[in-house]
Amino acid sequence: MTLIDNLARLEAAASGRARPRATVRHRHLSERPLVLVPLVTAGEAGAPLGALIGTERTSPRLLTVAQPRDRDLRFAFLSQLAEVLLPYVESFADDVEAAERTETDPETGKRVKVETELCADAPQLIVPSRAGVEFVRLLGRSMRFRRTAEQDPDAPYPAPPRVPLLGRWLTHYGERSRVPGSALLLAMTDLLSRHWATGQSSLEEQHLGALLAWIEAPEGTSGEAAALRAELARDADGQLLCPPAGPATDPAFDNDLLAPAIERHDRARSALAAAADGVEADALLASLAAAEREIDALVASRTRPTWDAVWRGLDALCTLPEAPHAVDRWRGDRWSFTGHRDRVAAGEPPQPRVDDAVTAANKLATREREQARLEAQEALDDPLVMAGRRLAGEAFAGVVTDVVMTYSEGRSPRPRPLVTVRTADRPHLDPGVKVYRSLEGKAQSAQFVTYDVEDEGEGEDGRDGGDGGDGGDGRDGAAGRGAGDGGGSLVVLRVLDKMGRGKEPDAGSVPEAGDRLCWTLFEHEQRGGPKLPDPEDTPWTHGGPPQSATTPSGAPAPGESPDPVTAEDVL
Amino acid sequence: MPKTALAQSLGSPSGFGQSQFAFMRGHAFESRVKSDGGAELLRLTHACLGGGPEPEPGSARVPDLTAAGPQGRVGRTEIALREATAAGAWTLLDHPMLTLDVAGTPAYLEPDAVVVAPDGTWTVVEIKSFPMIDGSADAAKVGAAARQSAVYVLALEEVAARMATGGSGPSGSDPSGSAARGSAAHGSAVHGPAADPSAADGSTADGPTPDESAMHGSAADGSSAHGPATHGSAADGPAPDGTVPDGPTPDGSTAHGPATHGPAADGPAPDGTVPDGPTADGSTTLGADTGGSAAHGPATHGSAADGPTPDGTVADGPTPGGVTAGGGRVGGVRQQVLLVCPKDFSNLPAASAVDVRKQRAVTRRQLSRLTRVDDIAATLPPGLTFDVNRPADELSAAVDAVPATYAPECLAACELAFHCRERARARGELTSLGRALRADLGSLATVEETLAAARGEAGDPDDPAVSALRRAGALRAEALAGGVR
Repeated sequence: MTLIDNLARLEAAASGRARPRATVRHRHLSERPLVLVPLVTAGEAGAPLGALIGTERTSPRLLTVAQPRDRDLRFAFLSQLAEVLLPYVESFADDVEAAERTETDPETGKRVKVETELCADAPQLIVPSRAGVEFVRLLGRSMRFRRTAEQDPDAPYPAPPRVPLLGRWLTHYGERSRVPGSALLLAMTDLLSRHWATGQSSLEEQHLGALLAWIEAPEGTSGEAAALRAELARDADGQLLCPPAGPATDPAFDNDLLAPAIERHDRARSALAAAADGVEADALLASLAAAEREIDALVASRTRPTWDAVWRGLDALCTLPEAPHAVDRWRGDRWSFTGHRDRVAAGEPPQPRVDDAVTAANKLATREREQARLEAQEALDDPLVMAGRRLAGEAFAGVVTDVVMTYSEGRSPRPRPLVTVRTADRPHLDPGVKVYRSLEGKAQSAQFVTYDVEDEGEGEDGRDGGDGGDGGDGRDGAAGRGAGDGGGSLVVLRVLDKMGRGKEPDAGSVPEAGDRLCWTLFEHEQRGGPKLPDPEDTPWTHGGPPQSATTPSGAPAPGESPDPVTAEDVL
Repeated sequence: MPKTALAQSLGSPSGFGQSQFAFMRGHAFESRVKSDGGAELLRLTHACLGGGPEPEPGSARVPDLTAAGPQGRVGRTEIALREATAAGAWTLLDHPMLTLDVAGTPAYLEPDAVVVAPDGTWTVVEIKSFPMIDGSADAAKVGAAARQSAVYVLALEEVAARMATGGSGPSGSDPSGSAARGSAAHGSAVHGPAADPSAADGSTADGPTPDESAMHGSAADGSSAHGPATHGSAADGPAPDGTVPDGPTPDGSTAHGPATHGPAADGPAPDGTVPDGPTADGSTTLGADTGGSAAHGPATHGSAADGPTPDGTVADGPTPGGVTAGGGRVGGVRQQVLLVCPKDFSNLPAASAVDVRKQRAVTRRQLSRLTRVDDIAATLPPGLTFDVNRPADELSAAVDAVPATYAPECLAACELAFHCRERARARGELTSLGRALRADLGSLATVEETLAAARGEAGDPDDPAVSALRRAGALRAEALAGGVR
């Protein structure tokens, strides 16, 4: 949180309505996202209670587990989940476009381009909150090592056919969601709090209803009051008016409504099991169905408000134009989806329980690189984010006051124009520091030479003129004065590249006097880190090659064997 | 003091409650772990921590600890501990009762179990029903369990110290059991086991986000998840004595930043007995799920948020109480607790040793800093009552007479949090938006004041916080008006 974001939070607290933290939408949103609103049973390690799922706002599919402790009912739930989720995922798998990928040629060791295919779009999963993302991971973990009756006829409690596959996909989605800036699996609270600041702490922003109340408050009303209602208001029976987004349920709901309903269901079921004849059984079957319907209604009543809230959140996000770089990052997500599609198709085993050293290091490096990339791209896409970087001294904006053409020394002199920029920002510049600006989507670099000295009085005039010229209202001038630093400073930069091959720079590649530019001290593109060895070559210092790599194929490696099952597993 | 009822009477009922599903599940798991004379539990203790020859099933002693009243149970527990230590056999104390002096009044604590090993070491056992999946559990929950257990460790050390000095029986300084529930302000510390100062569950607070902390796995959690809760409890405990400083104190920031990152900062092992960094053992037993290097994660995300801990984790001086013995235990009390959780998705128990030296040191320091309840009571107007049957406005005035420092972390720990939040918001306190935000703004304390400073209407322009705010305000306005890219 930068000071600018904090200021937005303060403004929101004072005005009672959310304030923007971004001027563009920094995450790609699919045309046809799949929304999943899960509920779990308290105290059981993520045993599902029910879910609303679907791609159509008006017609979600309701799935429930009438007795969360019953393994068969849970399996039925999971296989229904697979029925909805897998066709959705697979519907993206066949629509491909040609793409290139650099690979290392195994014979020559050189980097070569390889023709390959890339899915034109990818399935996007949206859950209400961060806890929902964790639940997706957990579900994935619980399913991917299961064995179906077909895979292993001796398995004590075989899983329904498509469940292990669903587990692998959910694991992949859960894993991908940890990559900064990825959009395969998104939490609505994260999306909203990325783009708006409310007058609550970030802890309270985990509550989807409250967060949305701040954002949706119409002009002249208090989002704070609406948020308070969403958070705390209860009806006459002590039930929350706005149920929590889950997956955890409200204890009052569990104790007062759900527990009696489950008990009725259990009684109806045991009565049915004890039924003496067909006529009696028919009547009992009806009462069991009634009990199931009752639980369905309860689960629907707790998930539907959240379902609607997620879609309203999507509406709010769609009012913002998509950031240019969000599409680039979505391309990364499409690669990720395509890669996993290929691994599944190739019959590779499920993701191991614990990553080997090389995979873990690679994942970590990817996350760090993507984090840096995300920060740079968000700043380039969004003046409000850039303002935070400028405040931090990591970027500066200003008007070009002078350009002097100079040339590099050497046999064939290259253009190295000196550009003087007047800025009210206070970047952390040392001689020789490289700065970058965006030139037609590419980064042009320049080197800081020196600060130019000018007559104080003239400087004031010049700066005011510059501000007036670009239609500003002199506010950054005020900032400069407010900072007590005597106004703006003149920065001399030497432009280094992107000027063409000739002696004369290409047209438009050199800034001109009067241009208003923004230079950053951070690079726009991130470089990859050093290459890591293949997992099979893991050095002994890091545990040596993983077990599965050394055992000849055939028997499953220890990391991929199914979980031992007991009579009373919770998931 | 029944804080839940009080909050209800004030018109800001707390949102706490436990689902009967969770309750039943927790109980079922605990009784399963302890079944069969604790054979499974002792086997796990021995496997994780050693402590003598392997226990033979059925040979363990499980003394009866029932007695009348909490003092009676404390006395019974001490006798059982003494006997078990003398006997040199595996002994399981099921739900013993311990006492700890909190702000001058005794609080009663009831650990899930204490195991006495043949070599005379005492181990606190904490049984939780959150799962340990592939050897790692939710970092925030493990952190909370570690803080809770640290309080039990402290209480056990007092028992050990009394036994070493030949003292007999419980402390005996207990004027009346109900004194603990006296007029003691909202400091949650005064509220029996549920309120042990470190039980603040606020670890999901402002600090590392849940998924980030999960990424660095449970090994790191001891330190990372620990941060926010430290502030949480620091604030609601010692608030009355005004020691919660504005912004980062010198020791707070130095101690805490690195603490997220590894043991180095705490190196000067608080009680002087521990040679290596506090998390050393923890990290071997609870592997982070992205491999060892994952501990690196929080450096990028977490530590910034944790920085402005008002209350440093540096413990001052050697411990006054404990009789020190080498090897990570103080006076026979093991500094690692045994955390028992369901394994993966089953009901089978899995155990892991969690090092609580750091949490113990933090708790000890906080307890030593707490203002005595008597002193707090002395500052209050005479005749003050928290009788929940009084009218709401009268009660509200009574509660307001006791100063409270609200922070969002309180929401996870204190029944009165909603009341305090309402007050804090009405006063426009910056802390209600998060401690980190408050710490960034120096001497500014309210929303109005800060916004006025940002607009240039108030505040000292030479104050670096004010000048930065003005620049931020100008830059934000420019960007929103459609500034340059």
